[in-house]
Amino acid sequence: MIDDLGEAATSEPIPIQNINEAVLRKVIEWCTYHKGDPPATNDDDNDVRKKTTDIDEWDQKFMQVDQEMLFEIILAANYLDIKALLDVGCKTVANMIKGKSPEEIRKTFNIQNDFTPEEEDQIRRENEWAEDR
Amino acid sequence: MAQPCESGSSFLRNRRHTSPTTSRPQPPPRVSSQAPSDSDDSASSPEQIVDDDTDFFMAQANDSQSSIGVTNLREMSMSIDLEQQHKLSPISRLPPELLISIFAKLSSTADLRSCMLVSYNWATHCVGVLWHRPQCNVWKNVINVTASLSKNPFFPYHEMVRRLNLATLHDKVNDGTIQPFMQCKRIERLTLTNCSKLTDSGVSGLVEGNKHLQALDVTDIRSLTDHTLLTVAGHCPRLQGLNLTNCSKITDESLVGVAENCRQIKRLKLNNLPLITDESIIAFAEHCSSILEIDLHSCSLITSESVTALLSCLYHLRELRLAHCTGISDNAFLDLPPKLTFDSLRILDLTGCEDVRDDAICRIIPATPKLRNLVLAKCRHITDRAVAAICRLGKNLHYIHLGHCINLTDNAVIALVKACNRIRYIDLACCNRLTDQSVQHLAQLPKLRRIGLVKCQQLTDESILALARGAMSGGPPHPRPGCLERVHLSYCVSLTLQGIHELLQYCPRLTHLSLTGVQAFLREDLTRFCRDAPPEFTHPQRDVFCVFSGEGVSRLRDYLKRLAEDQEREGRVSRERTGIYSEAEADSSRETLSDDGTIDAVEEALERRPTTRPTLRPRSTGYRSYAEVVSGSGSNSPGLEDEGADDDEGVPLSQVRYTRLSELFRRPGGPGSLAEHDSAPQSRGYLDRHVRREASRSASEGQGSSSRPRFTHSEAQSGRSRFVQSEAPAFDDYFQTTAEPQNRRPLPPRPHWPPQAHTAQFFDGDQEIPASDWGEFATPEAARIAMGATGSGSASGRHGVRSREDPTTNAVYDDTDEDDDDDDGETTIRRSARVQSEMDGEMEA
Repeated sequence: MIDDLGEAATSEPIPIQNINEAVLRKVIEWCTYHKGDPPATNDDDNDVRKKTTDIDEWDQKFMQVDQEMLFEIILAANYLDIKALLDVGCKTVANMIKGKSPEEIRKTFNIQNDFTPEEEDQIRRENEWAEDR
Repeated sequence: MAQPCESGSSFLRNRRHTSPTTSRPQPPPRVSSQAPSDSDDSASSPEQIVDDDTDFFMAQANDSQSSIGVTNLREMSMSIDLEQQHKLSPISRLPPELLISIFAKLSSTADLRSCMLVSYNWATHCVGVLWHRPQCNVWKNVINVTASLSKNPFFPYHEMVRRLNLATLHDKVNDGTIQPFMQCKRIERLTLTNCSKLTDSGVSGLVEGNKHLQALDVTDIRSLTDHTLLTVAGHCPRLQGLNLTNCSKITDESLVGVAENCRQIKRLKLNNLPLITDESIIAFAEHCSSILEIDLHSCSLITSESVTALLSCLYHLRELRLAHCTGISDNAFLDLPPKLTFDSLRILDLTGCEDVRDDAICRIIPATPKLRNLVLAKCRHITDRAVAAICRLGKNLHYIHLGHCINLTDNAVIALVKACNRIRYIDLACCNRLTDQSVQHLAQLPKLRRIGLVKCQQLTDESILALARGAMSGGPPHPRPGCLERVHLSYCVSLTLQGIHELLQYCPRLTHLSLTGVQAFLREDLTRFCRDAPPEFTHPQRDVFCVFSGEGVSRLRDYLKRLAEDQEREGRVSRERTGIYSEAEADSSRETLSDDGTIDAVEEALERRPTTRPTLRPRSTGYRSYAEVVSGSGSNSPGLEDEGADDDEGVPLSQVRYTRLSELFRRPGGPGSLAEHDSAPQSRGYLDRHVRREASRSASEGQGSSSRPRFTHSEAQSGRSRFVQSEAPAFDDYFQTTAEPQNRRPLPPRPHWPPQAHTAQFFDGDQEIPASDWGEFATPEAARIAMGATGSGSASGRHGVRSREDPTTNAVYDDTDEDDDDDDGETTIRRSARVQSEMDGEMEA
């Protein structure tokens, strides 16, 4: 991103209006810790269904925040184009989903079920094949 | 909580019914008004509603929503005060693309299905991820998927299917099955490997109109004709990968069409197409300039002209596989335009191109400076001169197969090691001229992971010790454990326990060790760690089969280590007791070898009454399996006597003693060796297996097994008693008995056993072992697969090899794996390691 901005980056402040201070601090904390990481391989892009469980220990701890902060971090990582952080964020959420029933997922994320029973039933039937892990 | 629950649910229903959605795109035709047909499904609905509304926050949300007075709950979620909604459910802040990338992280379709059922919003974003690749690995899933596609679905699933792989149900899928998939017109990868019931009508129906198709794998759909391929040519301009392996009816007519129309082709597998000629290949060379990989395995009509065209025209060509294209000669390379270099070429496979000789190699190698994998197996005319040219590849060469290049000498290998010190994989099977000197040099290769020396019959323990020592040759600054992972030594008939013991100790990463046909290892106590011979093996093959892999290697390692320790201890005890180690004793026992079955049976008998047999030496100090049967003395056990009568050599079994481990290690062949058996090799295989299975069973049962009655007297009298009884005792049993050795009688001498002579007789002639080269491994197929696809599947044996390639990876034709400039090629190696492990074993078999 700095590169995109060219010279201006060094002389002018970059506005980051939609990230609040607490979130930015977290993001910087993460970047500081990971600054020495080797560049990511391309492998990640290859398989859409990559394993979700492998988050390193530090990142797991780092992501132990309330949901509001978690999703703010994800949004910030997306906005700032920090792919690795976005990845960790998405994996964290995916791990929160894993193995749960629809109802448990709704509870976890506080989501309203807006299906009619008939709709729900139809979707359930049409996607029965997916039940086999 | 009953009250809000009630009101909440009625609220939901009322809202839904009174006000139809307006601002949001209506989902495709629904059947929501119909009563649910499945009674079991409807059962979950009431529960659903109750659960919803007992949630405190939900109840709150409902309150606030109703106060706003929006018309529809779904719409409400959009128009409600966003701030508040975000507070209540922070995940709602995520824009759809982030939600989708979260769904994409879910590896299990079951989780995705759960997400589908969370809410309408989630369902709309999740459905594309879930239906990207419908799981068709079980028949009932296919039924469900096709049913969902067919009748008025909730979502337009057919637009979402990008990948379709029916390979796992290849034996069931027919044209009727795939009918519903024909409306999926956005398929990008279509994998129909081995679906042999499919015909032109099914496959071309699937392909038709799929202008996004990028990869098509129709391996083994033998009934396919030019019709299907002409459809491909007409409809799939973006095709990048095409696998037509074994579609033997395909001719130039359609292939030329494909070449002219599908110009983005990058990967092309045209294995075993007997009708195609240079015309097709030259068309591909002329029209499809982005080809990266081409495999023409066993296309017998292809001549040198094709090869010259491919190399001259395809600037990006990385992989050229021409195994068993017997029509190719030196001219393929000699006719290349001078000064042209092929900087992209990484893999060249000329397996079995017997007419490719030194001149060709000397011409092509200097023009392919970055070649990483070179397979010249069975190019039997090449000599040290070709290898001298190969040396020019230097550190770029990682993988070389020179199996059956029988002219090669130690000089070639030594030069190769000096020039190309990054070799990780080398195969020199059947290079009979090689001696220990070669291996001593090979052992210095710092990155060597896999070495194949099958049937290099001049090799001795010196070679193996060098490999073991070489493994530690990192030197003081960088000492490293041996990185050897796979070692193939089948039919290196002179090897003994000593060398392998060292090798195992120094190479902790060893996961595969093949010693088929090496007499010293054909002993019950060792072969019980080895894996089962492939089912298609004949008895003589089973008799000599000896491959350790995975856990078996570790167990062999531990076992040999304990033997060695025991040997050492025994040596000490013996010296303390008798003053000096008796050479005479050693000699006598060395010469009195018995067949392994007998030994173990004797052992069993002993085990049952250890106290009555004062001649027993302590297990902790000896090697029980080498209990020796000596003729002449009185018998203590009727079972044993029967046993003796059964013995091949008619030696009455009456006396037992143990051989020193030191002798075992000294002897080229162990007593359990095949040589003693060659009078009746046919009878041994099955029983041998049985014994081995029993052994592993009892081993897994641990110590408890010693109390289990292993055989009865009547069993012992039956014809096969020897084998039944020879069930090896549990692993731990060997080290439990503590009976002190008292008086060991000297053994009557037997004629010295000449292992080499037997070897010649039994292993030399290919005619003795039906599949002439089954003892060799990593044939060209192995090499090809190791380099390219990952392996899976259950096909076995030589003929199954090609079908072992995972169709999904075959179909992965996106060009993202450009790891050329990765100096070490670690990724490639790692990627292929798993395949290799499967392959090697298979090929060895």
